[in-house]
Amino acid sequence: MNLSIEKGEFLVILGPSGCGKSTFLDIIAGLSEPDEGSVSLDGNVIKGPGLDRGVVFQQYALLPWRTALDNVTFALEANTDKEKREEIARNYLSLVGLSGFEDRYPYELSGGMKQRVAIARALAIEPEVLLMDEPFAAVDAQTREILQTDLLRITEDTHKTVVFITHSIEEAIFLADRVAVMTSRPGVIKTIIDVPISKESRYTDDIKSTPEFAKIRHELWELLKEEVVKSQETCSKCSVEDCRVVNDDQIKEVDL
Amino acid sequence: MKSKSEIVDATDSLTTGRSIDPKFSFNFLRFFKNIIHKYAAIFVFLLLWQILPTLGLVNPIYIPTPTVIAATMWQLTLNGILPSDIAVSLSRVLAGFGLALLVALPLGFLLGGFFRNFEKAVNPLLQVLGQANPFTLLPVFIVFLGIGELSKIAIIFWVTQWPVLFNTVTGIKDVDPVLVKVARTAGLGKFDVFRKVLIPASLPTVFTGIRMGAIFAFFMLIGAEMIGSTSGLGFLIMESQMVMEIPNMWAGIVTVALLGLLLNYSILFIEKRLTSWKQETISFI
Repeated sequence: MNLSIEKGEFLVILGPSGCGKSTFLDIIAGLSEPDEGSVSLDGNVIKGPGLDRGVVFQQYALLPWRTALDNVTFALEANTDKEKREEIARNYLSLVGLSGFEDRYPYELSGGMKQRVAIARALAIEPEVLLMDEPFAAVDAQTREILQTDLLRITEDTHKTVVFITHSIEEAIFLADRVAVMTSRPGVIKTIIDVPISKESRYTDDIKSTPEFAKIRHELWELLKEEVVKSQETCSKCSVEDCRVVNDDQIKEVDL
Repeated sequence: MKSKSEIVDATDSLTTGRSIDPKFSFNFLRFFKNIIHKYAAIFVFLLLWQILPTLGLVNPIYIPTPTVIAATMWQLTLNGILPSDIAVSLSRVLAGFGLALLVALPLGFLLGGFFRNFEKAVNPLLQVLGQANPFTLLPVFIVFLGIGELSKIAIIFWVTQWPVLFNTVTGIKDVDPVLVKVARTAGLGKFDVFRKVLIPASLPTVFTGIRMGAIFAFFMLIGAEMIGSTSGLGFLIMESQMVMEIPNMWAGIVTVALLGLLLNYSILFIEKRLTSWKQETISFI
């Protein structure tokens, strides 16, 4: 697939669950290597993990033996001195609305708060691109909506490029500048749809009930429906390992 | 039919229980339950132990009362027998146990963290060696190392290393892969991933191994001292039995039990300090 992502853009990759969206994100993060093709950031081919990309994982992925603050400073320890990195961490924790929770351990935080810490940690390295792999899949519906709004505000304030993976159509429309619909097998980008809803109206209005929103939702659902059916047919036949291989084959070139 | 009515009964009592005063009755019950759970069995056991020999229902010559045993322990402490045997036994246990930690911890970290394929290859062999009954091996150790301190320390080392090794390997292997991903995206190299993620994440499992090791070490110590030794608590127990100084024998038995508890609690103490981030309270083995 060929996909280029603009600077400052919020791109959502929407696809049926199960078959390999995470692999795609792992490749951009530099955690996995594509079998074929390449991913480049500002023209440089990605060869491994780097501090120009911050990743938020589906599970909270906090280090349970570290406090919220120490989780955020984790990636800064190699090249920032203690005082400086704690100051940075405090700032980002307050940005995600967790001032006062610096000394709490992960088990003392709710699911939503844990994911806020994870977002603060990804932002603290001041990456150019924020990679998010179904980050709100594990939190409850109400918390999820609040987190979505906050994420939109934060990424706009910090001018981050975001690649966000989800299988929720509503989440995709609410967050995205563009939504890329991924097919299940083979994992290619089927279509890319623009979401012409202004950021301001997303914060203020109940945009999920506007006709505009409904129209895009319908459009995406039509695109996604057959993929869901297909993925259920194929996924029942093969192992996850095979899935990964097939998806990797399809990733040819991605420019960020 | 029967099981159905039981379920109904259970829910009934639950609702009535709640309707009285939920908060008060809950806390009150829990407080007493905790106390009872913790100490009642021990108290009743000691009480029976005191009463039955006193009433003559159990022969007091074979099983003296706790007060007699305590008095004997005090006497043996005053005449220096018990302290010296404790010192001998403890030094054996600590030497064997310490040696096992020194070898098995780094080995486990290496096998689980860096040489996983090698670990897979040697695991069946290690399992077989670990399963071998150590008491059957004691003569082998004596043949090679003589009947002195060395063979005892060696057999304690041998027994202790297995649970420590196996738990360390498992602990490292079972670390949530997403934590390793986090570390790698933070730009950490292999050694830092190991130091900052794998080791702390595996600590709870590692400590389970260490505590099991301590228990095994004590088992083996007493066994080895009973089979071939002229000092130590195992020898004291054996010797007292042979010359029919039954209170002395019991004093030895109780001392061993208390030392085992002490060692286990000490490790638990360290473990709680190091893994205080864990939500669950660590239960006592």
